Amino acid sequence: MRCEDVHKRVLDYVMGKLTEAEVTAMDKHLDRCEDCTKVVDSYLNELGLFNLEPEKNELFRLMRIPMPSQERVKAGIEAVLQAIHGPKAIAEHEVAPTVKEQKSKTASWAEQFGALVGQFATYWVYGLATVAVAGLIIFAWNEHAQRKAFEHQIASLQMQVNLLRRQNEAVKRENETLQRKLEQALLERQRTQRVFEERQKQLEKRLAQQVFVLVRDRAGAVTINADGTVRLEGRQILPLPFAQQVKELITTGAVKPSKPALLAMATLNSGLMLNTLRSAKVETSQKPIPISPVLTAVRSVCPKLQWKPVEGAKGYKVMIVDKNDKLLWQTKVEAETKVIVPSGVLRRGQVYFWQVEAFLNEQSNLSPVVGFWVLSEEELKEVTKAERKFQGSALVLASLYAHHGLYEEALAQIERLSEMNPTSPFVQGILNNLKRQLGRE
Amino acid sequence: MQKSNRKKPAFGLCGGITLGELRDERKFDDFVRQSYERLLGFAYQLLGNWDDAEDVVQTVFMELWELVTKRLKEPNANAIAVTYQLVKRRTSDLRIKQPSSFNPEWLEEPFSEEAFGDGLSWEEEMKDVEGIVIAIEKRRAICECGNQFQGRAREVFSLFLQGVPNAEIAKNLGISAARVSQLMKIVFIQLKQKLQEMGYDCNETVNVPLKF
Repeated sequence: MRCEDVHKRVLDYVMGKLTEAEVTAMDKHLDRCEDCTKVVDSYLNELGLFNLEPEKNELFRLMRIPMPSQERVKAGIEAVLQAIHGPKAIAEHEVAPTVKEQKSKTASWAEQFGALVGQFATYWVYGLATVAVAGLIIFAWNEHAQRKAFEHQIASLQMQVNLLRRQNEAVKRENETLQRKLEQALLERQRTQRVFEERQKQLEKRLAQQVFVLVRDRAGAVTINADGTVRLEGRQILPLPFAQQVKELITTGAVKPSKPALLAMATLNSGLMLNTLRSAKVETSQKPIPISPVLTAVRSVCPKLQWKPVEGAKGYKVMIVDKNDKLLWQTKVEAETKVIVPSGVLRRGQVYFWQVEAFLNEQSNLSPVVGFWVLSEEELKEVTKAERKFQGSALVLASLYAHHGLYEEALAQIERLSEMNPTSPFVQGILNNLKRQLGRE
Repeated sequence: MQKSNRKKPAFGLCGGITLGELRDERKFDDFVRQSYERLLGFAYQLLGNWDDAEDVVQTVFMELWELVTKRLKEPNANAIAVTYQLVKRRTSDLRIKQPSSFNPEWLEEPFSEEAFGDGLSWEEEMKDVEGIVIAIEKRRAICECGNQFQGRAREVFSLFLQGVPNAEIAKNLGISAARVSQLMKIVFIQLKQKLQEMGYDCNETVNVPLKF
């Protein structure tokens, strides 16, 4: 019997409404199980208070009244009855058998005949009994054999049943493991989905924060958020220095140049140089005008020098001077309007001036002096590193180049941008600004 | 004196039998078997000695038989009431005549109409011992109920009736003392129920004037 069964039957048990077998089962359980006895106690407490003190409980007192033992009572009753009419009963008892004996002695012939018939009948009975016994033995033997066969069958069936049960258990176990795996997979899936949803929410939040689309870049739209962070499409938020540069470029049209670039610009005296260039362009005199590199940084130590040709010129001569007006290199007179500076002439991180002399029939015209500087090794490394990172974004590259003074390359990038955003006032502003800086108005 | 009072069936199984019916031998035998134990208990309560009580009860039955068969004048009198009355009188006689020298002389006392009291109904005469009579009736009923219990309750109850203390009951049956008291509670509940079914009122707290 289980504790639950006991709990169900407690009330009937207390009120004595169970059968004897049920009561003994309950008793067996309750003798051992302390919890169940407590349950029974609680029921009893609900039923009422019990005063088991003899002074207060009437039933208790009644039970304590001494009563005569059963033997004493029986003996007493017999004594009384015998005293009242005992002898009579004894006499009756003695008379009865004597009458019977007399009857048996005076048995009639009919009864004797009946006895004889009975004797004959007994033979028949014996015969029948032996036959019956034999039949029973045969039957029992047969039954025994059948039973054995049956038992054998049962044993084999039981074996099969056991086997099937074992298989069933194995299958169940497999099922359980599979189910567990599935559940785990499901849980993981849910987890990833949750993460994904969170990300999506974050993205949506950011999207909600974004203010406007600035320009369309090669990799996609560039946006600026409410908190000032710049975002490229398909990329996460730009790291801080680049973001600042881009913001500067977009809002002011120029980027604050790096320290070496600033120094170089100062030594080149850029304002004066630009003025002379402008005036040279305006003049109708046949002066060659340098195109590149003008007031810009150059990556390689072997830059290509270009200038605008002069009508009727037989040849040109190029001179390169360092910042101390020391002539470093000059070409022979040649007709081409471009030349590549050989290696070994220029050094990294230095500022250089150059000038072209155009030889006409009788006279030679000197171009205005322009300057450029070669990027130092460290800056070059920085630039190449950042280039690799933001290859897809013309805007970022432009801001990067502008920061390091590579204005020509920046201009190329911005020109690309302007092709993509022909109506954008930002891009036009940047373009104009860069062109002014390079003296290419 | 009203006759209706005498006929009132008051006690137990043989409450309704009259003296006239006892003239039949069989009925008298049944009456003896049914009432012997109660009368013995009653006499014991008055005397405090089983042997004396037995003597008194047996002589009372003899007297009753004689009364019923030979000089019956009130055949409608309640038999058990008369018997109780006889027992009471004989015990008081015995006590007056000192319990040590039991003398059966009083057997010769004539049983007349006066025996039923001096103008008193038997109930009035038995008033001082009524509590004992009721208590003994209940006690018999309790014994009968005890046979109806089942399982452990029966064992505990039978031991309890023999006067065994709870701790020893627990030891004998191999169960805890708490369980014994629990079983006793169950016994009390069922006993109360059964007694109420049999017609006994168990709620009143009768101050039974028991001496022994």
